[in-house]
Amino acid sequence: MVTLGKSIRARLTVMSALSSSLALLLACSAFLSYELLGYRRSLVKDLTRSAEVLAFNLTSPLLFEDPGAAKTLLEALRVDSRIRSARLTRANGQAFAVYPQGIEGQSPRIAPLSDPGDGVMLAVPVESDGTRLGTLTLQAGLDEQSVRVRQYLLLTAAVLLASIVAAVGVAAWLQRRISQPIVRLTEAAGLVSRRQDYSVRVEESADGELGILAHAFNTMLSRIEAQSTELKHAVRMRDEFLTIASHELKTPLTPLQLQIQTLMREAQRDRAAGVMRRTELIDRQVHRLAKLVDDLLDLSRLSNRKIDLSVEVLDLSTVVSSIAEQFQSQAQRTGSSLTVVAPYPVVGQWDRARLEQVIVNLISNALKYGAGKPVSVEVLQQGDVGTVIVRDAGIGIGREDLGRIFNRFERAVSERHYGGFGLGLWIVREIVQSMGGTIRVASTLGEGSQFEIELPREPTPTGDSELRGSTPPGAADLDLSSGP
Amino acid sequence: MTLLTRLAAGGALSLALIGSGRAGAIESSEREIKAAFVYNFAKYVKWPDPVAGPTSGDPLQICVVGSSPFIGELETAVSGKQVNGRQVVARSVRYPTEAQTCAIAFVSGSELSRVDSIVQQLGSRPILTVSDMPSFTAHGGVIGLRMEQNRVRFEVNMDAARKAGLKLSSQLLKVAVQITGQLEEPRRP
Repeated sequence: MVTLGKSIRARLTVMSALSSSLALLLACSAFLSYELLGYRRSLVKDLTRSAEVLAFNLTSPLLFEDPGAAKTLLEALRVDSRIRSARLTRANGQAFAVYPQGIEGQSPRIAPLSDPGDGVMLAVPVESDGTRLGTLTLQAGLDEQSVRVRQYLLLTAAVLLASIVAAVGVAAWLQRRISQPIVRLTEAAGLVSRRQDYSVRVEESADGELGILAHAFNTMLSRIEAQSTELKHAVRMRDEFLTIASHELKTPLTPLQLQIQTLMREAQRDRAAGVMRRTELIDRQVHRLAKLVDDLLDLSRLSNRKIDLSVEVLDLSTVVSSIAEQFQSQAQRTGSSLTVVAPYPVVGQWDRARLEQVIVNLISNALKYGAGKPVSVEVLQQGDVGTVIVRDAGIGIGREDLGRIFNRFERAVSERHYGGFGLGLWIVREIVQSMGGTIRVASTLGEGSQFEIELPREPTPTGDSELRGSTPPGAADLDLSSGP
Repeated sequence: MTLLTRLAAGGALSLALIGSGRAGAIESSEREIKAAFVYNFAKYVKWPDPVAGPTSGDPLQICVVGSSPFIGELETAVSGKQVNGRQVVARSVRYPTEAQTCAIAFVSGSELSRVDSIVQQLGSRPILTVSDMPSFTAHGGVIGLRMEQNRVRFEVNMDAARKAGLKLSSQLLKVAVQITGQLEEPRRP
């Protein structure tokens, strides 16, 4: 599953939270600026209105010489917390009444309007019938503004929090609309690549690009599925053909081989050296033909995953030695020395025919690709495992080819110089794996190769010989690290 | 400097003069302040229309009833002044009967013995009666001037004002030291 940090849902959440927060912050900044600018203006307006009303009322106390009444009127300013002080002076500048009580000693500052930073000062005349009787001076603080700004910021923070919560909600809704189809596509793609199940389809409910994507995905899967079915059919046809062809080819070969054996015995008896030589030649070619047909038969059997093992108690050393003995004459012909190192018996339970097939394949490969160079076979016992190592000093295998030599119809060299179907090592690997064993190869181009098989001495009740055929090509147990 | 601004400049002036001990100057200054008060009363009184003459263009008359040097200070105080667009004039009258067209009648202290008769004659007319004689409001006058801690103060008789058909501004009542009578018209069933 996708991690939260990179998932579409997380990105949508972050995106919507960021954009809404940004918009909100911008809006709040704008409102705050307006508030800061507008507050002073409205304060001056309010203050002027209050001062004018008060000045009108202060006319009679000034006219009738009543500072007490003036003080009472000024005391009414208490209801406006913004007003810090007020002062009524006579026309000659002499103080008449002040608010709050007890600031008489301070010298009055009378200015038309000044902004001393932290407050506003305002002076209005007190007049009667066009005659100036005195001046009323009000001073107001901006304390309330900072309180309002603080409340504003708190409100902004609260709204920001709420918007983030809303953004998460919106993202959840968007997730259903946008990321859910993508997640379904991702899961379907994962299913296809894991199981190679091309019958998977995704729902095409989404609109727009996602709908097109889902449709394209389904179309693509349909085509792949059709091609895959076609391919499987072709492979089955080929395998069927191989089975039939190899059986048909095998049928005349057996009597032919018997006839050649008879012919050879008669030529030997009649001392007909010429006939003998030619018959031996024919025999070798027929053997070779029989080997090819056998390989084809094995191919069709192994492709259909049918390997029947009939185990018996065997000595691996004896089996290997006797096969090597049969190859001695061929080794002499190709100019190779074939040595066997099998100092002690290695006893285990194996299928004789299949075991012989593996050893024959490995030795004949070594002689084929290592002609003229020494070939050695070693038999070892390592605990519960019998090991056979076949070394040659032949042409070797390139590093890039090591991965595919165990595949069907593969060979590391051109078929012009070296005959065969390219099935030998594939058959060997299939048999070894069906026995629960492993095969490793180490090789250096131009210096020779070393094949090592390890076979458990007790048959492993894995039952997975049925599955071996499905091992992906090139997934042979390769030991590429140790070159000779 | 006009008398009004001098007055606005303050009681301090009057106190200073009182402190000087020159009796004639004290009385003169006290009269100046009282004259200013009487003129200022005109600003806070509403007469039933039209009081002081057939047209509103007529001058608003402030009359001094009886013999008093007060007329001199009053003439100075109202000289060239207007109240609500009406010119203000000061006039001296011997008898209350001559004061029928006056808006304000200042009853001199010399008329103390005849005060009840004067108030009776003028009280039912739309005339603001003012005097600095003691207990003037108790005799049925509308505004009585008195001295309190060396300051000129005044008291109001609301019943008398109502009887005269005058409406006194709340601004005026605010600065009065004493108000007698019913503030509001008694409700009738």
